[in-house]
Amino acid sequence: MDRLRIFKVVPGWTIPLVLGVLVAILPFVNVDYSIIRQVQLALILSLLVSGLNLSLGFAGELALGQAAMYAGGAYAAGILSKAGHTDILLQLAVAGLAALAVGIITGIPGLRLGSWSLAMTSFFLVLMVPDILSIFREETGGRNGLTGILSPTLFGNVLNPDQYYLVIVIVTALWFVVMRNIAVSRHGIALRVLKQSPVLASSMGISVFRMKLLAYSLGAIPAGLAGALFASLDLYVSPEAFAFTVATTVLAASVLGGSASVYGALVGAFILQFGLNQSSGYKEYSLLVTGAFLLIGGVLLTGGLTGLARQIANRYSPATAHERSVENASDVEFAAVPGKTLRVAGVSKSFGGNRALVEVDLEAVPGRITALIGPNGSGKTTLLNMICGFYRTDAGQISLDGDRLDKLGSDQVARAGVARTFQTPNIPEGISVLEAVTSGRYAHQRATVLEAVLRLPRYRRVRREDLAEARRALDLTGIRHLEDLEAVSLPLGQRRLLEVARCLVSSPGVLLLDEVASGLDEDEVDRLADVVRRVRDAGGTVVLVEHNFQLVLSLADEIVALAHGELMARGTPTEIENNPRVMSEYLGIDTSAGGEPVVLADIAPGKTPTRPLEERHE
Amino acid sequence: MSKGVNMKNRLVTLAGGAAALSLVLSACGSGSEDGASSDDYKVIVLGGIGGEGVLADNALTSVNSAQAGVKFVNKSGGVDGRKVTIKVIDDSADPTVAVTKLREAINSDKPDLVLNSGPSTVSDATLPILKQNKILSFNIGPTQTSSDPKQFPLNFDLSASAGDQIQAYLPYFGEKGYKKVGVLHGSSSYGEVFAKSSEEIFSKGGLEVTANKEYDVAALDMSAQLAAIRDTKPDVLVLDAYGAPLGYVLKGLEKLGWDIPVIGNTSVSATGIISTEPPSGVLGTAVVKNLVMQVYKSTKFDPAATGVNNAVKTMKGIGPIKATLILAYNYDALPLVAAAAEKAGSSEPADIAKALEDSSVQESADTVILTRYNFTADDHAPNPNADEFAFIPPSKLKDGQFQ
Amino acid sequence: MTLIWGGLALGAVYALVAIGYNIVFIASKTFNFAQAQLMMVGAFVAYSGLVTWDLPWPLVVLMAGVVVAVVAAIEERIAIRPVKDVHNVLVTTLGASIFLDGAVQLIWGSQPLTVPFFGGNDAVTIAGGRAYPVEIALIVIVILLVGALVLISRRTMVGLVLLGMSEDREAAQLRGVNVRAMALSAFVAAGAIAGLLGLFVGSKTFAVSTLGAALALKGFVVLAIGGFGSIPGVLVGGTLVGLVEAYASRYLGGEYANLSVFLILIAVLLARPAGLFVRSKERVV
Repeated sequence: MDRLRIFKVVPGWTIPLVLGVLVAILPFVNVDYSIIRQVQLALILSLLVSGLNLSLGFAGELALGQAAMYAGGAYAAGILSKAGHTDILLQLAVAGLAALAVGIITGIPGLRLGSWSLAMTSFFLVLMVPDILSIFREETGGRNGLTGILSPTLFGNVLNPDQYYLVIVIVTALWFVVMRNIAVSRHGIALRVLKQSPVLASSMGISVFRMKLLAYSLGAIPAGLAGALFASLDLYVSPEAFAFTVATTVLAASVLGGSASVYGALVGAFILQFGLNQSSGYKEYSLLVTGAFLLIGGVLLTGGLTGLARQIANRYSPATAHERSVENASDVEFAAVPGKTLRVAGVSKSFGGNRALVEVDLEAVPGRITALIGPNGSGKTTLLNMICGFYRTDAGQISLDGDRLDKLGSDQVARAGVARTFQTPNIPEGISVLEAVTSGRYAHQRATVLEAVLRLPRYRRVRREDLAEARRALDLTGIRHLEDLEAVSLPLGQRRLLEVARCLVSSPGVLLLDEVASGLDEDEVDRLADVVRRVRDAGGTVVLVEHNFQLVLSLADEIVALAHGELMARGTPTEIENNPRVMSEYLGIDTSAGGEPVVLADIAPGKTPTRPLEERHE
Repeated sequence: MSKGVNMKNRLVTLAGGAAALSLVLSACGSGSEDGASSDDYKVIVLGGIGGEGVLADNALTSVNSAQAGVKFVNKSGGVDGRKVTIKVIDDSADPTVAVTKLREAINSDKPDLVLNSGPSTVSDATLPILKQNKILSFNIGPTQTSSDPKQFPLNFDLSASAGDQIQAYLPYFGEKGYKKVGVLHGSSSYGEVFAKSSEEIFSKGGLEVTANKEYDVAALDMSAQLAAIRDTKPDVLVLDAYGAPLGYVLKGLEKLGWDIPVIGNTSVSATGIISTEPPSGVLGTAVVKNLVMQVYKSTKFDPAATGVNNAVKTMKGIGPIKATLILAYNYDALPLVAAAAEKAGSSEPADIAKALEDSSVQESADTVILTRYNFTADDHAPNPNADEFAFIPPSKLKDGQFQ
Repeated sequence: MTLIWGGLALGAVYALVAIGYNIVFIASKTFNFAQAQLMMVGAFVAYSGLVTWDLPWPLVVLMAGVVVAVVAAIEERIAIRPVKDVHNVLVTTLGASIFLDGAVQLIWGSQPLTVPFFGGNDAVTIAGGRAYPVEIALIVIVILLVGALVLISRRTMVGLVLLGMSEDREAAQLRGVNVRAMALSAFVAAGAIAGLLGLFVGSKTFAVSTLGAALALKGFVVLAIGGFGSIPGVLVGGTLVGLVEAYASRYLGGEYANLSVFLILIAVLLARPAGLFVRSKERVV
C-alpha cells in the first residue's frame, strides 16, 4: 500500500513532465545525432497518431485520412515559408487551420458513412494526395516536391537545429497536454459515448453530427502541427512524405500503442519510428522485416501496449474501490425531480405494409408511474423509439408539456427532457462508473472544448457540478461505492442502476425505462423498484416498458396495454389485472373456461409465462 | 478517483520505459562499422537498395558502379595520394530516410564525397545538408536547381537532365522526318519533368507537340491515354515508361493496332521485359517492332571500347549488374575526382570542384559511361555531346549492355 | 468499344480481388488486407509453372490454386486467428501483405515478368473493339464465378451457414456452427480462387511485385460500391470502377482517373451508405 500512497501524492502529470524534460535536453547532453533525428520524427509521428486516436480510439470512427491533413499542414507551412513568412508560430497556426479545413472536408463522407466504408474512403483519399498536388503543380512543385523552404524563425531570429529541436518537443508536449485535458474532460467521455453507439449518444442528447465533426476537426489539428514541424525540419516536402505508407504507419502506431489512450500515441510512434528505421538496415530483407514486425506486433498487442499495461495494472492493484461500505440508499435525501407531462395522441406507424402502431394514445404525468405492457410485436418498442425520435410518426402527435417532440431529431428530443434506459444496458468502455454517470449531463450543461483545454473557471464549475450531481445520483441508486470501477465491468443489475443514475443527472422531464427488470434477481428488482418509486415520489414522470407483470402491478399507477399495435386496455393495476382481454391475449389465460381466478400477484418474476428465451431482444 | 490516478501513473511509467528501451536499442544498432583510417578519402554512396519494385535493381547497379569506380582509382593511386574507402547507405529511395541516415553518417564520420543514386526527391532533400556541411557530391537524380553552382557550388550532376536527353532527339527526328510528336509520360517525379522539358524543347525545335498525356504509374492499362493521343495524329510517340507500365503501354499499342514509331527514353531501355525473349519477355515480338530506345553509346556493347569493358568486368567482380549501364554513372565520379585532385594538387572540396570545371581535367579523366562531362563554372550539368547518344532497337542485355 | 473492353477487363480484375475480400468478410467479418497480394503470388506461381518449368496450363492453374490456398491458410493461422481485436487485424493483415511483397521480390526479383496466356497473346477484334483474349476470359470468369458463388450461397448448406454467420455470428455459434473452421475455410477458398486465377490476372497485368499494392485499394473501392458482403455487388462495382477509370483517362487525362473513381465512390456511398446491394439496417435499438 505504500507504493500506492506515493502514487497518490505525486500528481498525474509529473511523469510526462519529467520525461518531456529528459527528451528536451537530449541535444545538450551529447546524444548521437541519429537518435535526435529519430526522436524528432517520432514526435512528429506521435502528433499524427494522437489525432487518429481522437477519432479512432475515442470516437470509434475509422477515419484514417491523417496523412492528407498532414500534407495540408506541411504544404501550407512550406508555401508560407517560400513566401517569406518563416515565423514558426505563424506557420503552426496556418498549418493547423489548413489541416482543419482538410479534416472537415474529408470528414463530410464520414458524417454519413460508418465503419469500413469510411475507412476505405479515407484511405483512398490519401492515395489521391499526389494526384491533387500534381494538378496544382505550379504552387506545390508537383511530384518533384516543394523546394526552397526557408529556415524557420521565431520572433525574427533564425532557429538553429538545437533550438528547432526544442520547438518540436515543446509543440508536441503542449499538444499532449491539450489531448489529455480533452480526453479526461466531459468531451472525451462524450466521444466514448459516440464510440459505444450513436444511438446511445443521441438518446443522451448528444448530437452525433456535432460529435463526429468535433472528433474529425480536433484530430486534424495535431496533423497540421506535425506538417508544419516536418516542413521546417527538412526544408523540403514531397508527395512521398504523405503516401499510403504514412497512413498505414500511423494506423499501425495507433493500434500498437493503444488507440484509446492519450500517451499510447507516443508509445506507438516511438515503436514504429525506431522499429521501421531498424528494418531498413536489413537491405533487401527490409520489407520482410517490416511485415513481420507489424504482424507480430498486431498479434501480441491487443488493445495496444497501453492496453496491456492497463491489464497488468488491474491485475496487481488491490481493488481499493470495494473498501467503502455500502451506504443505505434510502437514507439519501432526494431533491425534487421536475417531471413533465408526456402526451402521445393518435400516433400511427407502418413499416412497409406492416402496421406497427395504430392511433395509440398515452399520457404520462408527473408523480405517477405509467407502465406500457403488451406481448411481443405489440408495438411497445416501436412506440418507445418514436417518443425518442428514432422513427418518424406517420400520423399523430407526441408532446412534452405541450412542446411537440415528433418533428425533432433524437438528440433534440433528449435535450427536451426525455431520458431512457436500454434493454441491454448501453455503457461505453474504458470509463469509470462515475464518469459514465456524468456523461448524462453532457448535453444539458455547456462548457466548450477550449474551456476544457484551458481549464477555465466555467469548465471547472461545470465539472464540479457534474461530479456532485453524479455522486448524488449514485447515492440514490445505491451504487456510490462502485464509482471508481470500470463501468462495463459491473454485473447486469448494477449496470441497470447505472443507466437509471445516468438518466437522473439530466433532470429528465420523463424517464423511459425499457425492460428494466429483465435478467435481474429478486433483490435487484426490489432495489430498482425502490429507486423508481422514489423518483416518482420526488415528482418525476416515469414510463415503464416491462414484461415483468408482477413488478408492473406492484409499481405502476396506471397501465397501458398494447396488442397488435393498438390500444387494448388502460387502467389501474386492479382494472388491468381483471381485464379479460389482457388475461387471454397477454397472459395466455383462457377466462371463458371458467377455472379458478388467477391471482396474478403470485406469479413470480422470471416465471411469468410471457418470457420465453427468444423474446429477449439482446 | 485515487485508483484512476495511480493507474495512469503506472501507464506512463511503462510507456516511458518502452520509449527509453527503444532509444537504447537503436543506439546499439547504429554503430559505425568500417575500419577506415583517418587519412582515407571517405566516400558514401546512397541508394534505395531495400526499396520496393524495380527501383531496387537500379540502386544496386548504381552502388555497384560506385564501388567499381573506387577500385579503379585505388589501383592508379587513389585521390591525391589518399586511399579511397566507400560506405554504402540504404536510403530506401525515401527522402526522409535519406536525410536521417546521411545526417547520421556526417555526424559520426564526415565523408569527403557523397554519391547520390537518386531519385530526384532524394537529391532535393539531401543537397541542402551537403551544402551546409561543405561536402563534395555527385548526383544522378537531377533536380531543377541541383546543377546550379550558385545554389550548390559543390554538387555535380552526373546524369544527363531530361532536357539534355530530349535535345538529342531533335537531330534524330530531323533525320527521320518526324514533324508531329505525341508524348506519353508516367506520374513520377521524372515523368513530370520529362513532360515539361519535351514540350518546351520540341516546340523550340520547330516540332508540333500534338498531345502530352500522363498515366498513373500504378495503373494497369494505358490504352485509354494511347487512344487519346492517336486521335491527335502524331508522326511519332515519345514514351517515358519504366517497369510494368511499359508493358501495359506496349500491350495497349498492339491492342489498338496503332502502327506508329515509338521512341523510348532511357527508362524504357532500363526495363527488363524489352531485352528478354518470350515467354518471360517481349523481345523480338510484334509489340516492340516499332520501338527504338535512346541509350548512351556505352550502354551498347562494343568489343573495341576497352575502358567500358574493363569497368563492366570490375563491376561484375563485385556483383551481378541487374540494371542497364546507364545507371552506372557513379563509376565516373571517382576518375573525375581523381583527375581533379591531381590537377589541383589537393583533395579539398572547393579545390576539386574548381578543377572539375576545367576542360583539361574533363579531358584527362578516365570516364567511361559518358566519355566527356562538360561541367562549367555556371553549370554543373554534364551537358553530354549529342554523339554520346545512340538510338537502338531492343536487343538482349548482358551485364548491363545491349548486345 | 476497345475502351469498353479494356475498362471491363480491368474492372473484372478489381472485382476478383473484391470477391476474395467478400468471402473472408462474410465468414469472419474481418478484412484481409493481403488479398491482392495473394492474387499476386498466384500470378508469380503461374509464371514459374508456365515459363520456368514449362508445365501444361491446367496443371499450373491447379498448382497456383493449391500454393496460394496454403499461403492463405498460413496467413489465417498467424495473422487472424490469434488476434482478438478488429483493429489489430487491420495491422496484422497489412503486415502480411508487406511481408508477401517482400518475399515475392526476393524470390522473383523486381522486374515485371510476362505470364503467357494459353488462349493466345495477340489482340483480336470482338464486337467492333480490340481486346486480348485474356481480357475477354477475365470478364467471362468473373461473371461465371459470381454466378457460381450466388448459387452456392443460396442452394447449399455451406452457403446458408455462411449467410447465417454474416447475419449473426454468435447465433450461428450457438446452433453448432464451427465458426473458426468456417473462417479458415473462407480464407482457404479466397486463397484458392486468387491462386487459380493468378494465371489470368498475371497475363493481363504481368507478374510484378507492385501488383498487390496496385490492386488492393481498387478492390476495396469495388467492394464498397457494391456493398460489403454482397457478391453480385462486385460485378456492378467492378464495371463502374473499370469504365470510369478508362473513360476518365481517355477524356480527362490520367491524373483525373483516381479522382473520378473517388467521386463516384463518394456519390454512391452518400446515396447508399452500405453500398448498392446492401440495405442499411432500419431497426436502431
